[in-house]
Amino acid sequence: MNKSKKHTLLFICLIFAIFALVLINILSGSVGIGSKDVISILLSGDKSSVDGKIIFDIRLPRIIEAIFLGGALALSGYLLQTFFLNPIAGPYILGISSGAKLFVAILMVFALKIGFAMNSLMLVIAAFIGSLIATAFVLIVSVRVRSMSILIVCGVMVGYICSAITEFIVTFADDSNIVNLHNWSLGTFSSAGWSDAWIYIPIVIAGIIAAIFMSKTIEAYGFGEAYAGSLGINIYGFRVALIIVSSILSATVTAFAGPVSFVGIAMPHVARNLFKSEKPLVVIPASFLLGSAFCLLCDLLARSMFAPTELSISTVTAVFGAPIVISMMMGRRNENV
Amino acid sequence: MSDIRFDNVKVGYDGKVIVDEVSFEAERGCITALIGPNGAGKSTILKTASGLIKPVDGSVYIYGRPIDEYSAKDLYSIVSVMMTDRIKTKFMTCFDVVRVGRYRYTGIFGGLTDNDKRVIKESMEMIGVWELRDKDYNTLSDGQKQRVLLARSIVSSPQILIMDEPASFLDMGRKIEFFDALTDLVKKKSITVLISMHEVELIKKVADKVICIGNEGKIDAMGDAKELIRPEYMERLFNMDKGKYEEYYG
Repeated sequence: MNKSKKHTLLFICLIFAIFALVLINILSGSVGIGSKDVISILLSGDKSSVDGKIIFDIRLPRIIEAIFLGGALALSGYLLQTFFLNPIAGPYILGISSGAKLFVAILMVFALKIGFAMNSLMLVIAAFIGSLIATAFVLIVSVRVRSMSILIVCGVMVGYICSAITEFIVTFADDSNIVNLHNWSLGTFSSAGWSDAWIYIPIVIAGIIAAIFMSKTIEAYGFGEAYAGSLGINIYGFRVALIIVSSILSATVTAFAGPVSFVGIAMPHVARNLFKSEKPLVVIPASFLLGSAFCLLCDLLARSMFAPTELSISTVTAVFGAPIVISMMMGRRNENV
Repeated sequence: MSDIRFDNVKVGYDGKVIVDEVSFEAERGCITALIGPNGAGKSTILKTASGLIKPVDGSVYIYGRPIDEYSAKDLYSIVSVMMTDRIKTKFMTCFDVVRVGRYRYTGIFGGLTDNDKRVIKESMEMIGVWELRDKDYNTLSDGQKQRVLLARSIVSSPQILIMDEPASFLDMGRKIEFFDALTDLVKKKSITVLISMHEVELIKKVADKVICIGNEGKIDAMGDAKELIRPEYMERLFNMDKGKYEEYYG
């Protein structure tokens, strides 16, 4: 079987897996709704019954969120890995998600304090500013140290600092809405509704399109900065574009789902190894779909393993994602991580 | 008119001069080699010649036109650069590696036309790596890898090829194979090559013209390879004891 046929088959399998996970996610939950009822509710679009409300207002938005934001995280990680020319990079591990979290928390608390009504777009903007500030810090460090390991340690430290400040803000903010903020700051796909979906879906789709248009340059850049420069590529512009698209994607995820760990770093790696390819036109959609499938699975486990108690999504993604990252590092022990 | 001309250039980084008073010309269909001790500034001169760094002072001309007047697109449609960095790939075939060299010509998503495919095939055949096209690049020997990279650097149909020590980590047999492929290429395509190399024993066979960079940050001598590469001179350039060069290279 030639490579492109293999890739097509793998893509079909992935889409099928996502489809299956969507079905399982719709069917499972603390309220048991039979599969026949689910199908008839979905087909009729009837939201008037309690079951209809559960499916349309709770389960479906959550599924859509896991699909789009999970995929966006994986794509954001892939773009960061391209930027650093190193597969051990991701928005969470480099502290970028935590920077976004901190800014969203600050905005939420102050908006509540002064009774200011904020909308989802403002959350995204706050998250984006937080991401950029955290990224700027990581970049300043990366100019000074050439070692990726030290950079990651710095990223983790930035993550801790931002999380600590966020916790501090959350603890001392006294509004009852803060309960939501607390859940969000641990990472969850349960907080967003349809109105948010209309904000994040276009952003994520724009991010995918931007990444696809950058794919040719991503491939050439993979051979190193100097070589890409000698092909006439505007390195500075390209690197700025990578950081901006990656930050917008991870900021969007953080604004709606909070920080979600290990998806961004692990899924592109799984995509490359599963498809045995480094072609961006393969790895970009593969990472996205894998991110979606992975988040659907983890969200299913997060809400069903100890139901009715829900785990935070990062707890589950870390259990699966961290071993993948450790194996990546072990596999590269002879090189400069 | 020479293809590459340095006119009293100070080359270096961030305002710091590494080699001063660099003036030389590289002509069409010739291999011009830079030799000299490590750290003398050979790579810096090559980077300046390929427009990757700006000269601290003075002008570099490509086909009589100052290099800074070229847009990146125009410059790199003439010039192809092969630097020392080894590439890290995981799942790329040799064809994929060479294909990327065609960057400037391919479509917005990197799609190949029939003409692109023909040029890639021709380039790989010329260097003798077409048989390796479906092989995983990582599984190749160092010698094969360097030849694939040579194919990659000519797939953009350059008129000028700039190479930084392309054979330095190959064993003697692979060095000879590599330089054979290069001299053959220059003959067939009549391209201009500016190269830095360590292989003093091969210079007479490979290069038409030699530029020697001394330790003092200046060009020490330049001229016809066969006349210049003499034991006494090489001993002085590389700071060797008298008689050492002959003892080793004969």
